[in-house]
Amino acid sequence: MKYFIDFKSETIEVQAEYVKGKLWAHFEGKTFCIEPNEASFKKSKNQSLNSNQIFSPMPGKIIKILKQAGDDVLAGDTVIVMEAMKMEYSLKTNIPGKIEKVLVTLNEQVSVGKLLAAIKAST
Amino acid sequence: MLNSEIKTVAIANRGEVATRIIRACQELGLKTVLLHSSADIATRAYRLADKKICIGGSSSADSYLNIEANIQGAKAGGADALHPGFGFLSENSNFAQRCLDAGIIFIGPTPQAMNLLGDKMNCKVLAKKLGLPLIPGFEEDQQDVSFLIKKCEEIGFPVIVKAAAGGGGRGMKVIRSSSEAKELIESAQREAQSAFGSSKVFLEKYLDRAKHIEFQIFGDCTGKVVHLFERECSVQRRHQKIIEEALSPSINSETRRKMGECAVSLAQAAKYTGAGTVEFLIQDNNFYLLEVNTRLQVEHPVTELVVGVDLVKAQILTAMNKPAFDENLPMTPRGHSIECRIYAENSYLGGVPSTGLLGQVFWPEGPGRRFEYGFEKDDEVTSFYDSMIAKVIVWDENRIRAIQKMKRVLADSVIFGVHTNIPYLQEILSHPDFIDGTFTTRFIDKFFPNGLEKNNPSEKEAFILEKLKVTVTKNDQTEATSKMQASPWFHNWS
Repeated sequence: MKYFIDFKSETIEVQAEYVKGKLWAHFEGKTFCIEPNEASFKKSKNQSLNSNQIFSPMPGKIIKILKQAGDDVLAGDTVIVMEAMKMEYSLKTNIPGKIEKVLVTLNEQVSVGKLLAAIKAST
Repeated sequence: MLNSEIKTVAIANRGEVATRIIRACQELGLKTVLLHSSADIATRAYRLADKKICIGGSSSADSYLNIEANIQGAKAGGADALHPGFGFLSENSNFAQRCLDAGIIFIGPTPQAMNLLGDKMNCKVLAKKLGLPLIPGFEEDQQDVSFLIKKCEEIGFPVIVKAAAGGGGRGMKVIRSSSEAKELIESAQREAQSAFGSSKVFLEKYLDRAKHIEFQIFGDCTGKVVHLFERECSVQRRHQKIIEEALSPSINSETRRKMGECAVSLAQAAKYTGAGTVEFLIQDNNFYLLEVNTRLQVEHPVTELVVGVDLVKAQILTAMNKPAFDENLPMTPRGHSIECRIYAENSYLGGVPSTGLLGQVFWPEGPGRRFEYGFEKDDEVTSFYDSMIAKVIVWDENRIRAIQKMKRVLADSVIFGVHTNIPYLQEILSHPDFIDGTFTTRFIDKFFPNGLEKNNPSEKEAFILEKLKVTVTKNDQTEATSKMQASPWFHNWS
């Protein structure tokens, strides 16, 4: 099945399908496979485009906290690294600014949609 | 003279090569009988063949490697010829002889030619007689360790000691200096004894920065042998080829001429008919004969694309005593071709095999793009056979363009249901040593010994995947279901 997903100002065409309970997706030259319990996660709320907040996109463990409150960040900087299903996910800020607060600690287990960090946008 | 009329061809193989042979037969107006195992019903070759005969169970020993089952199947299917493909029984001269005894034309060389060139020791003896360059070594009966150490020193380190009766890496050691020679030779002899029942070993100069270059040869029904230029297959993992190309980016026309002459003289001496491959290693501008493969090669399409021939049809036509190629066709290479083997494996887990039911499969067709595949949506990739599920072959005007095309084709290819080595192939194609053509057979060991490191998804990727988790609900999925259980054949033959 073909899907169109809006990300920032672009629309990305995605091929996606469940095969034997696993979600397979192909877009922009790459194939992804998401294991069942990962695929059934609820939608992470409030993940808006130019967000000044970073939410956990999945349940998992915080394995790295790269930026602390008060640190300056650029758009694209990784703030937190999570691990789920033995895979690591870098959570990045998509706006430049200063880290206002980090709400998790290292090795903490978090649920999907949890607020992890807040960023004060530079003006 | 054998009756060389062919109406029906039995295919003693599976996967993409079975499909390739069926296509050639269809174009020549021949009927096909697929000799398959009980595990290979949900496959493309099964759907394309005119007749299918299940010759045994899922294990290769029961089916694809079972000589009598193949002969019985071919006869039951009314075949007057048999194509063995590659792998399985394709290089087994007893099988070729059994086919002939049963009145079935074996599409390949004669059993005599197979014995002469396919057997490594016989081939070396013949090559020596013809004065062809062999890897310097020692392969005589004298097995005294101190004598062998002296021979190692004469050959010059590094030297590889190999079991004379063996293969597959057992009883094989690389010796780098005199001080470790005794221990390693003795160890190789012990391993050879326990694995093959003979402690006999031979020595060869170990070429540690060699390129693998092979020549396609073809002997037609009149006895004329030609070569159709070379392929370079230096991108190998544990002696398994991954990427092949024609022509080689690293030999000049003089070396090409010399190597081609060697390949042809060897094939001529063996009165070779049909398609074959003479493999060489080349290091420091010296080339050495490695071995001969007396069959069609997995990577034959790159030769087909640069020379503009159909090797499988040529094989069948030769078996029919007809001219293999159009006499007016200039045998001149043109442009560049690359093949990538698509393996069902997980590139991020060190290449562990991946099996399962296939979901969507999409090949991005276009000029100069060729896809050879044995499985389609809803087919099952099982763990019984090797993991090569497809081959992607491109042709373009030069090597750089061919690499660019291959990268794009791989990026646009979609295979759901099993993991593939496509990410791995993409990394190799982008590596500077691959791009400049300086890579050797040590390329994979050197740069990609453990597959790929998993990268974290980018913000965009993570976002899209999250979106998909809620958009692609399991309710609207058109979940593929296995055909294996539903097929009547399953019950008949299991």
